Amino acid sequence: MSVENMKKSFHEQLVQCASLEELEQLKRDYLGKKGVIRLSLSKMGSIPPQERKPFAIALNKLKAYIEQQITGEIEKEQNRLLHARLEKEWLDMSLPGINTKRGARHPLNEVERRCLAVLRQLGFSLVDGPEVEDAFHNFDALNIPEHHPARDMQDTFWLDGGLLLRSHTTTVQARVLGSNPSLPLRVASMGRVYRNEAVDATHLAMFHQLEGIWVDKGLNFAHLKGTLAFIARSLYGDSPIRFKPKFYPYTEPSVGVDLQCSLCCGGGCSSCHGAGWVTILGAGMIHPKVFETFGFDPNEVSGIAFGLGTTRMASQLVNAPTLRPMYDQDLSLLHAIHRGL
Amino acid sequence: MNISTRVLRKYISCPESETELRHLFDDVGIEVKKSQDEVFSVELLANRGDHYCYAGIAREISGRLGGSVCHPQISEMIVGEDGPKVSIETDLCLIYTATYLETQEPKDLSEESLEPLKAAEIHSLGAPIDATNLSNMEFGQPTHVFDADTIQGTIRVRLTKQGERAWPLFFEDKITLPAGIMVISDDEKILAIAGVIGCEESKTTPNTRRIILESACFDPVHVRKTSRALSIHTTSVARFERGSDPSLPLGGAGRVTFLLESCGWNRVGNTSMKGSWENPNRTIALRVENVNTFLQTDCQTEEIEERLSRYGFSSVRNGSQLDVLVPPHRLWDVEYVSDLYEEIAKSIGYNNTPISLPMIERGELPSAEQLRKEQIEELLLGMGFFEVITDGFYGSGLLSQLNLSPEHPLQSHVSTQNALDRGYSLLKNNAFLHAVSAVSKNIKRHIFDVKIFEWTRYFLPNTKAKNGVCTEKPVLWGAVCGKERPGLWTQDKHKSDLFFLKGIIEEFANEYRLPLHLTEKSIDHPLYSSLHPYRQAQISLRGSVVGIVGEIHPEVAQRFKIKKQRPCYFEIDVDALYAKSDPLEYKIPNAIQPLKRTISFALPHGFSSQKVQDCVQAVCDWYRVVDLFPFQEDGHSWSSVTFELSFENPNGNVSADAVNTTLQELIAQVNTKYGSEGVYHR
Repeated sequence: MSVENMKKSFHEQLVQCASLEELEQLKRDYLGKKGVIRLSLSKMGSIPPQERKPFAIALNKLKAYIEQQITGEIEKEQNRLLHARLEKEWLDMSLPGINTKRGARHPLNEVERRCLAVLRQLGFSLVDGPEVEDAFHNFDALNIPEHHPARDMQDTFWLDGGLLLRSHTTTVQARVLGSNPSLPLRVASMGRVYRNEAVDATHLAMFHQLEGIWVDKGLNFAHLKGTLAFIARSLYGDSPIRFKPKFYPYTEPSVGVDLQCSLCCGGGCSSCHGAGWVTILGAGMIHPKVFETFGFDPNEVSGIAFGLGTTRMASQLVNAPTLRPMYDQDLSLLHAIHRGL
Repeated sequence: MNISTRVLRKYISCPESETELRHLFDDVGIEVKKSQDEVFSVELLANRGDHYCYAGIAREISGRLGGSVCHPQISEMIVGEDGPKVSIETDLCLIYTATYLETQEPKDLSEESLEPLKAAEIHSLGAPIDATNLSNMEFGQPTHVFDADTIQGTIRVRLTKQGERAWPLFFEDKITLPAGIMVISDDEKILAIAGVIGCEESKTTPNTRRIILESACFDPVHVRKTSRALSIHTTSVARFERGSDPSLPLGGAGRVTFLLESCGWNRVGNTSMKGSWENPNRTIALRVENVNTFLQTDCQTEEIEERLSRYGFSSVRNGSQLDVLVPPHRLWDVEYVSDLYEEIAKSIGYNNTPISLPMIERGELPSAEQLRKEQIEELLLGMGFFEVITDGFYGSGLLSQLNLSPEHPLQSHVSTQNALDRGYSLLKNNAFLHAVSAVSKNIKRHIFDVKIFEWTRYFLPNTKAKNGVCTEKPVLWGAVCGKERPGLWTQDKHKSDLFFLKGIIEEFANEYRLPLHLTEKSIDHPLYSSLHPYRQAQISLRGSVVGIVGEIHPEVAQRFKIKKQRPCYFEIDVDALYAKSDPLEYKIPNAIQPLKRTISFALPHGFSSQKVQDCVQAVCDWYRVVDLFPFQEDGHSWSSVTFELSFENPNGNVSADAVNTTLQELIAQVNTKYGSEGVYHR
């Protein structure tokens, strides 16, 4: 067969190829070990000597031509197949992801973690204590004598054996002070506390507190204010704060820390009951009687004590209008808080 | 307490603006809860009985701003023997005064003088009662009036005897008083419960023309105890229980008398007065340099003297110190020098004293336990759990949902003795009840896919405990039901089931290198009967039971109205989770791939695969379960469990034949051990 005929035949077969397999076969038919080109070259001996060279040149040109043509067609077919496959693999990306959706900590836990992170910067460590307490650690040791209103049966859950459910986490501080600690002492305690009250939107029989004490030589009122300001600013940013006199039996002087209402910027609104300020911290210098109870000389050592209502902080964090839902195990609420669902 | 700012301005010069005045109140520790129409609703400091009147609040403002306090007019009371006959028979009454007054034609007090009552929303009840209310509000001295014509003989201040009865005002009938209550009585009846409330039989009426005015000082603790014992709380109690001014009874009586004399009443004779107020001359030594150290101020002695005098404290210089005399109206709350520091700080203004942060040598890192807790939380959050918080107690109603036998260990509780709500009557002795309740509540809200956990503690009655009542047990619990991956729209809709929970225990074990294992259930476990009897196991750590995992018993679920779901629950001691980890041993993977084989065994229903797993584990380097399917054979239920075994080949000299021989030996061993129980190689 002449080179021209071979080329013509190749073209006729090439246009008939309908798949990648047929193209690969055509390639093998022409360029393979037993293909048309090799076969023609092997028959060069039968051609007159003067025709061999032009035949060989023409055959090599044809070989290069076929290689170029068929490679191009194969690439085209491969691209077409790839494109078809990819198109077939189309996914509707508007559907939601299917990984396991992460859960979330309770807002109260988040608040406690934030508070602890701030207190750690000041060198505070966390200590734990019992929830079932005795009257000494809950009241007497904290300068809440028997006639104090906080000891009323109505306010405290009393248990068998004269025990009670702690009404504040200050009991842990009493226990730490009673353990003959070395100074400086910086400890925080947090957890459940109980009040035997009628439950309503703003009162719960069980809620959470976080408290801290710092005992050392030379601590004074300015240090108390500095510490409280540090805590308040670390937790709430640079919103203005103010100090005001308060009364707690176990501190003297006692201090309340107010944060300017973020909603009305101090102008007064329903959220802050028109005050323009929201109380965030209760604190004070540890009362001399408390020191005396545990064998410290109040003339030698002094101390800072403060408490945060973490339940209220958590409800403020999530803009919950009442406290009870925080303890309602309502997944729709927790989803809404963390995922907006 | 409601305060009319217009009335207050008669006592002391105040800022004109209500907003500024409100801030001033806050600045001196008197919290304004509400402000409307020139009336402040204020919350007073619990220890400051002297704040319960206009004069007291004015004095506090004076302490902050300076300026003098103008007191209302009083009549001078003359003590004499011709007053009502009075006898004090208990030392719980410090002073008792009584004065006769009479009128021919009763008139009301002037509108202007009644303004404090209107602000406090107290209705006018006739001049004598209005005057006593006003005296209390203006001066802070509670007083009381009796209809003199109802009194027989001597007025006695005494303690009740057993079984005595009285008829307190506003009560429908007489009540029996406990013995030892301080009362005011005449020769026949009880006229009043001292410091708490008057009685019906001696009350004044619109027809009353002769009264006896009482003004006294009673023991604060006794008044408070009486008030609580009888559940009677009055403005008089609020004042007396915080400690009243023992120098004030005559002044208070003088104010009432002045008001009554202004509307047609006249004194008859002089005032009787029993008891005495001897100034105990309480002084507190104050050093100026200590004040300045405490407040970081630079106050001079004169300034401190002047500031303290604003609150009524007088002082005498004694060398380098001041001897500060506590005024009678502060006798009950000023005892220590730190109380004086507080007064000086208030006078300067809490927001005006210096502020500084003490030196801190270093911060604190989280403890190992805190870190472990956070890691565990992260693991659970990653698996889709939400943290919840439950109460520390419950009521018997909730407990009955478990349908426990009377002798069941979970029937034993520490009880609260005085819970206002029955739902708080029992300290919880398990976390399970709240867990099931939480699942149930969410299912009722049509949230069927639940994964929740809580760090909590419960209370186990234990007379041998340190406190003689109970031990507190901190636990981590989790509960699940519904789809493992909620919102999944693909075909794989695996449930959050018991094996999902088991996987979590295994993750705890792996992540924190704790040898936690599931071991055989025990009927002795308190939660045994509340879990599915064939779908539960105990969790053990180093030979001790530290928790339980199981599917909630269908009957328990039904009682909680959980119908279609099969909730599962786990609980593990926090101490176990915080236990010391096993040492970390790195094992370098071999360069040569291990040889792997799979092998299946058919196990009859009820046969634990653990027995076969033990055999498998003994012959290979590691294994895993790669398939399980149930099938029926000869009318019985079976499970086919397929294991993938891996044989390490570190030196490349372990042959396939050797592994195959090991497998044959394994099959023979399983057959020998458990063939009689129906186990066979498939």
